[in-house]
Amino acid sequence: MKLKGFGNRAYNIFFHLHTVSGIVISGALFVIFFAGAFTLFKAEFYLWENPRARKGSLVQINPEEILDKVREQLAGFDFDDDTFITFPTASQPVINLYGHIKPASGEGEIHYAGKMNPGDSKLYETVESTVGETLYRLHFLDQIPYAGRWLAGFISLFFVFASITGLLVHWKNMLNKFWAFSFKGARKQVWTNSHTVLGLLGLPYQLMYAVTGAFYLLLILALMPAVMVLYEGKPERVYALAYPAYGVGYDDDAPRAVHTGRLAALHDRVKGLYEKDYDILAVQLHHLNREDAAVNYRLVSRDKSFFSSHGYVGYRLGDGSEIYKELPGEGKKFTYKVIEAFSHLHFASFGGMFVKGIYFIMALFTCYVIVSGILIWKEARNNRSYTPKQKKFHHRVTLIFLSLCFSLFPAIALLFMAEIGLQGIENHTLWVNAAFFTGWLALAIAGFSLKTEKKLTRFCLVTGGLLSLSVPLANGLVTGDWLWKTVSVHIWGTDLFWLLAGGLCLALSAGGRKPEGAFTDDSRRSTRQILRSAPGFRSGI
Amino acid sequence: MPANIKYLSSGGQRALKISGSILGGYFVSASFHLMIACFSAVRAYAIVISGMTFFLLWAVLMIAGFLFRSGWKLWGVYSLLTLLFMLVIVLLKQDA
Repeated sequence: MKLKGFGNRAYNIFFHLHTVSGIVISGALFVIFFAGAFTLFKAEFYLWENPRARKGSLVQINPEEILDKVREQLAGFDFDDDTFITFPTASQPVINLYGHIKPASGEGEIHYAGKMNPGDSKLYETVESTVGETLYRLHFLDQIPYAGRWLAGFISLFFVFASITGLLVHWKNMLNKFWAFSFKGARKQVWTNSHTVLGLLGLPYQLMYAVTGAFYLLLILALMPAVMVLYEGKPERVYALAYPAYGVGYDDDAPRAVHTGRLAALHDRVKGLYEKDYDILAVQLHHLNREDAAVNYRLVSRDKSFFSSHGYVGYRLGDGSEIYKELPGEGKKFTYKVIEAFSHLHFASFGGMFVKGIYFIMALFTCYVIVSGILIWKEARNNRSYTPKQKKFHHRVTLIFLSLCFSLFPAIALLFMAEIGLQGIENHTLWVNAAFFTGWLALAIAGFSLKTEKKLTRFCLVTGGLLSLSVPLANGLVTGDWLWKTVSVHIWGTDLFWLLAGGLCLALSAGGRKPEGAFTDDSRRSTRQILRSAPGFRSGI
Repeated sequence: MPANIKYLSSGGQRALKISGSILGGYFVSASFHLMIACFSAVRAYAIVISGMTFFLLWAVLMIAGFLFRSGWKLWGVYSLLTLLFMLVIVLLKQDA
């Protein structure tokens, strides 16, 4: 069955838009999806990357005690400004603290982010480990100063553009191409078919990421008109639509007050009320030393039937009165559910490891669609209507793209090894990041110098495989937590992943040694043959 | 096979279409979403859902922009749409 197609003009315009937008964003988009795929498991491999945290304890500390420890250890901490505490979990047995420090001059504020070990209540600001953080930041290009987030945001926007134009290009043959898994015919046909099929099957996933990615990075562009026109330039009033804590009112001139013991009592009360059905994720405090101090709890329901499973309760510290209560299944507002749903979709935080696994595979499929798109772009131009100079240019662009993208995998394995191998040295984070980025660059240059796609791919598979196999080895040698000796699934799970990934890469590099390469020279075939084998060519199908 | 260039524009027309699609698309999407948010009954819903629809509409308008035969016409249509939505916004704001 065929759907009604577009006219020749519209079809060619869509095709061109898809090609150009795809080529422009492809390299960065590959990096975003590949780094993002690993970031899905950031919390899960935290214990692996930070051996000191492995000995952490899950002692439950009262937020009042935490703040007392902060007062002892940190001069100038501003308890009246927003303070955010997350509680330790099994995969991350550490307390995260975000707040503000009043500078000695009294003007402005300094953002503070620290961690506290629940065992000994020691506060530390230096980041102990960085794998998760580096990959997380790489997935929105945050390492590029100033421009990185904007760049990643517009790449997301143009990914929406490329996804929709891709859909329009294949509109007419969408239904019969849907199941067109085919490994017959010329290699280029395999590329084009798989690009179409995986692109189409992955479309909901890819479109979801394109839109939520733009949402996180370009939100200011979407909200600015409403904030300026409807909310007197106060963005927190718009944020209050998404999170009730932003809607709590505070008086800047509220008199000072001492609330000793009240936060501990309130925490016990919240635990008594909600611990049965909810995990307590975090608490946010404001105006702690004033009369209108407020405490905002974020809970997560253990009932698996809720998609937007977070619950929000807020109290005034002075008299313990409840300001708001928004719980899933108990009249939680639609607007709170929607924004939370965006985040669950984006971070795969709604279905446990199974969903994360599917997300990971889908992200790799998306990377495949991006790479096959580039290869189609090159192969479609590998014919007599192009001069040798043009063909050389297409070849170089493809090689640069492939060398940057394919070397990212061995570089990530290197990042894991550097993290565990460079334990306890000064400026740990700096050195680990330096190893990762220079390693990536060196691998990319080495891959590029191999001159053919096939050699480059094999080079990255072999180096990636060997480095992957070394990751569990490095962990065992440095920390003594060998794969077979650790109990924590987060540690042996990470080791096992690298072991399997390494084995798979080496197996792939050993296979496919047949002389007929994936990228055979098509120039001997006539232009008409090439045209006929292209997908969606109007006269052919 | 690459797209047939006889259907694609070049030079000044291309510049007009790229700029008109990106900028014009933004202003149409922004004014449209603001207009919906001006109806106070649906304001909260419109704003949170715009977190998705804003970017979808922007992208669709960017694609549609390239279907215009003339870049001037594209700028004209997108400007008129923006002005129209803004007019409604002004009228609604006066009522409120």
